[in-house]
Amino acid sequence: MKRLTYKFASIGALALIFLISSSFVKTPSSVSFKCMIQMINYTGEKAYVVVSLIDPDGNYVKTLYVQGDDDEWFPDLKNWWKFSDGSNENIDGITGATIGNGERNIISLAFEPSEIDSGHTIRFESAVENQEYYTVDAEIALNSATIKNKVDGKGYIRYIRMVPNK
Amino acid sequence: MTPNYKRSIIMILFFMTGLIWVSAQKVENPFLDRDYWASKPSIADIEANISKGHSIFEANGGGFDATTYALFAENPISTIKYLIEKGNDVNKRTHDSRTYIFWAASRGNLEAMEYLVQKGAKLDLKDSHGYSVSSFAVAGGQQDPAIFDFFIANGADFKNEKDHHGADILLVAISRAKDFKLIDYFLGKGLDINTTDNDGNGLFHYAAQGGNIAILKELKKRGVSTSKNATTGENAILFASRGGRGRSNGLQVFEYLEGLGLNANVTSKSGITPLHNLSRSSNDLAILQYFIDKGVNPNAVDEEGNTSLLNAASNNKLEVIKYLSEKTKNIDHTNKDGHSALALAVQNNSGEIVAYLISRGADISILDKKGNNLAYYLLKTRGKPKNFDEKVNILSKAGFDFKKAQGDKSTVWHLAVDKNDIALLKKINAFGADINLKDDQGNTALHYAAMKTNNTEVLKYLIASGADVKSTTEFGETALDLAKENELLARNNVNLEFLN
Repeated sequence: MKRLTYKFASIGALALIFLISSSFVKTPSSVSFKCMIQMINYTGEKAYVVVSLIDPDGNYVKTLYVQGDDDEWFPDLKNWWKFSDGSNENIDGITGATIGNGERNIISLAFEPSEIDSGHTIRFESAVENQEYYTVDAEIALNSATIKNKVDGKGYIRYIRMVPNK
Repeated sequence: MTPNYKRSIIMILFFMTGLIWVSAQKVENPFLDRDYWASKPSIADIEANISKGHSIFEANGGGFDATTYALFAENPISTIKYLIEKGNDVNKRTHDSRTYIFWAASRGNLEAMEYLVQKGAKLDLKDSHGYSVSSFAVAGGQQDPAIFDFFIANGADFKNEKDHHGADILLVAISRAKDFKLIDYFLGKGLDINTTDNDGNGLFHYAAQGGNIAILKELKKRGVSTSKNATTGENAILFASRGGRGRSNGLQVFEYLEGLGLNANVTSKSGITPLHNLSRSSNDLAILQYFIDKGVNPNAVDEEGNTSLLNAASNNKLEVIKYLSEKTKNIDHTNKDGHSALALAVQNNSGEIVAYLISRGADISILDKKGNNLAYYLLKTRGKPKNFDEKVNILSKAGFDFKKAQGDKSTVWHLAVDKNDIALLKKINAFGADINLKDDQGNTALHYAAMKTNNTEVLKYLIASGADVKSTTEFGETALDLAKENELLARNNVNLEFLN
């Protein structure tokens, strides 16, 4: 794998961005991370988790990943469903199976340079059948200085870890 | 990446709570035992169990808790009151997202319903199937108008309450109706005899599924449409072929419907024939033959890629599998997920079905769309693998190689670790697959066991079988790092030294 350097003269704050080429990168200018969703060992059905990009005002911008592939349960993720069902976004390509309690899912997330260090966050919302729904199970600031810190979840997620894709 | 031990304080807290947990976990909680509640225990007995450390708030994996079981077993209202007043939230979600009032209503327990509403139970809720409390009461077979008067008195709006398919309470009621009394009751409350669900299916279709000919005749007499749904291509015969949970309709139902001019050789727009439905629910070869005589194609493929044989393969009996196999052109036909009849039988049915399909020439090296082979289906079951030894014998004799990895590079070790069962792991050992292979997420079987097991013996067995404790995940963690984070191991306050 090859490390590439791109210069973004037009974006003052982000003069230099190191980014990593991989098949996940949609456009040469996006920044890609490997993201680990580590679940806790709880009793019950497998959790549905949705990963969304949130703007500085706390609004949903777009869906990044859905862990859970049966749309019958999507309405259980109430806040996200209100947004996603109402928007025209196509989530077919970013949907994966649920994973077992205590297991982890490693996904790839890509962002536009403008979404980084500009007050955006990545929100992890979760629901389990017959059990509590977490509007915000975990939330990570899209801040290049802190993004590698492990962030603990409040619900079914034990923690989230992000590292740049390489 | 170096391991991160930031959570040590949390871990210490876990160990401390673990001490309390262990005492409660050692003995099964009697409050989660159906039989305990069937004995209708006294309040004194319940309190004695609470003082032994058992929780009346806890739910099991299915989402059932003490109050739910107490309602199932028709315990006296004083017991229900006790459980609520001790702190069980009256609107707590249990199995299928139902609150206590759903269970009380489905049992026709008006006394409990009145008490729960008085305590603030909400009636404008839906369960995970989209049923309202009143629809669930009907689905549970309740026919007493007093129960439905209660819902109306508490604000129910029968005309506008619909399930996920858009079915109102009248449609839910008709397939279970024993006579027309409750139907007339709902009609008297303003519901429409020509009601339909979102797909345009009306009372006659729902009643056909229930298979009560007297009800069907009454609907026809009252002018309800008996004709085919032009949008979905379904007719009443196709609905009747569905049957209910573990119940299928008899020949006389189909003959009656045919007598109305409905075509038995029917295929819905999604490609489903009566044989697709009957092959799941019926083991009556005379009925299967009846539809074949009417021209229904036993090799018809529906939208999902399923044939009648595939539908039968999971649960039906040998005589049905034989009957359909003999009429099947391609024994290795797969549906859109890549399931063959053999894969489904390996997963869910008996050894005799597996042996039979192999004897008919079914391919033992078949892979599904994700590249999973038959070992995946043998081990990927809800609960314990069924007839494991017998199926292993049959597959081995046929030349199946259990060492082959799946599409995601996982091995039989990865698959077996999920069951958390040493006896099973010992059987896996005999296959001789490499225990240290990583799946495409970069984890070994030991990594998964360290994340998930509550039993250190499982970890010790894997190590004794050659698992490498030094192997790391893509995030640089060893099995020890993962085991330290595992809440279940922490709760049991175990020594993890052996992972060093």
